[in-house]
Amino acid sequence: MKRGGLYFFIISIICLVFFTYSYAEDIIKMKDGKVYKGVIVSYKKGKYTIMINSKKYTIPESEVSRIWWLATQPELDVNLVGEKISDSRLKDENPFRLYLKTELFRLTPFSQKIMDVYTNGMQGIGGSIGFDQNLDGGALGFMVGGGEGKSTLDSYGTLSDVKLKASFFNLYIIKTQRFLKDFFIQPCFELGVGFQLMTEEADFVFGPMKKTYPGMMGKLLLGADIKPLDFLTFDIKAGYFADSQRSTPRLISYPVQDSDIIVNYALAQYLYIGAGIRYVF
Amino acid sequence: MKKIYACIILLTAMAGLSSCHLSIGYPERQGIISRASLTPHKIVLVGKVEFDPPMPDTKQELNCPWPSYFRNLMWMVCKNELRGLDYPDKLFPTSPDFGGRIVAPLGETFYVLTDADRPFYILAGVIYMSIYNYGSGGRYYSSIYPGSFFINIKPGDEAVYIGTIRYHRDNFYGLKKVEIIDEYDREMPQFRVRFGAMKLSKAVIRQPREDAVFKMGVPY
Repeated sequence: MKRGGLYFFIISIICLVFFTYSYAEDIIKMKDGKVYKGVIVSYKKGKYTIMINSKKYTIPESEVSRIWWLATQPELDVNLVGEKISDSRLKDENPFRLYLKTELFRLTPFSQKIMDVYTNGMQGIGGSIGFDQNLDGGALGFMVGGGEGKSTLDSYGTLSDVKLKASFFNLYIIKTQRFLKDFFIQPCFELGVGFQLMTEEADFVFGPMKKTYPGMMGKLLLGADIKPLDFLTFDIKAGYFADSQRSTPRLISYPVQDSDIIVNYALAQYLYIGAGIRYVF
Repeated sequence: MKKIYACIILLTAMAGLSSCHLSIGYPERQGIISRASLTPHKIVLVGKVEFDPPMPDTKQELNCPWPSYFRNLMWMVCKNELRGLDYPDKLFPTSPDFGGRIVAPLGETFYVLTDADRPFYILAGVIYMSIYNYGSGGRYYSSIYPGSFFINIKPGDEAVYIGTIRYHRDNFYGLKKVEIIDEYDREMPQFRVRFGAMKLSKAVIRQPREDAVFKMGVPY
């Protein structure tokens, strides 16, 4: 009998909870025309939290056009003629969302000293993983990238067709300016610092040479963030890229010794042009 | 010895009560925190009162036994008819005026019980800037803010939202402007947490005209 009472109590609680939370859903219409259906569970500091299919999302108040609370079907029939409940994704309540990014870039040297040596610049590809603080337009990521280019020496040099391979490892932040709130293109800037491994491969007359040099790198880029969908962002950026490049010698005598090649580091400066796709989970 | 203690306690209580004699016998509208506390023939009134700019905590000088009774609270004088206050010049409230008052914490949403099917007026808002309690007597300095706000409660309402009353003030706490703000959408989630699926009807106080002249007991 006691156990029966306990079961009755538990079932009553479950029913109570079920009926408490099974009230009609709210309809929220955004300024961009999208309409979402769910239960708005809180409002805090200019942001609504809405629960759709047991998952919470946040919506900035500034993006909301109108809310129908506990909307009944006749109300919706009158107010939402021709509207479609959007099935596109909203921002999660958790402001830090994991993202993956791929990026293509080109480095064009604009320092004369480097241009004399690495005339062809470098093409590269990178992959990033990080967290997107999408509510304020900020992101913190870790990028691993690699690039490859061909180099030639100046007229005194004997090296030609040197293959350069660089690996970049850098932490970076992205800040998107959200002052154009209702526009899908946002200006943004990116700041990154890290280190790199630069490998030179060349075929010398006395045999192949391969040497790897560690160094530092940094970048400051400006560009545009294009966000056609809530979870997909394209960006185009250009700006300043610098690394501590090995300064290749101008005169190399035969036979070449390693000690002749390993010389001082110098600051190498590039124009960086890149484009990427970011997928936010 | 016990009698001495009893006398001391009684005297202390009397001294404390003297600081709030204005409200003795004239209870405030009861606050409510959840639907379970709702009593028959009562509905929930939801609203907010605030200063712009906000009043610093240190502004009120409350030298009385129960400062929390007044701290950061505005007493809203509520009556069923639009009239002046009780004091002969109709400008200051007396004890009977405070019967059925709304005690509104400044800048926070209040939830109070009020009679169903019974519209009323908020005649004025009173805030005690300083209270000096001297023995059995006391001195009170209050600032009075005009109301004349009609609270339109209709039959069938379960809960009524009246809006945010924002008193724009100068540095001397003089009134510059009264603004009524509709923050229904911001209040609704918190209301739902407290009262579940109860319907919160919107009956926002009419916005005073920009050039409205506020006088006690006179519609703006």
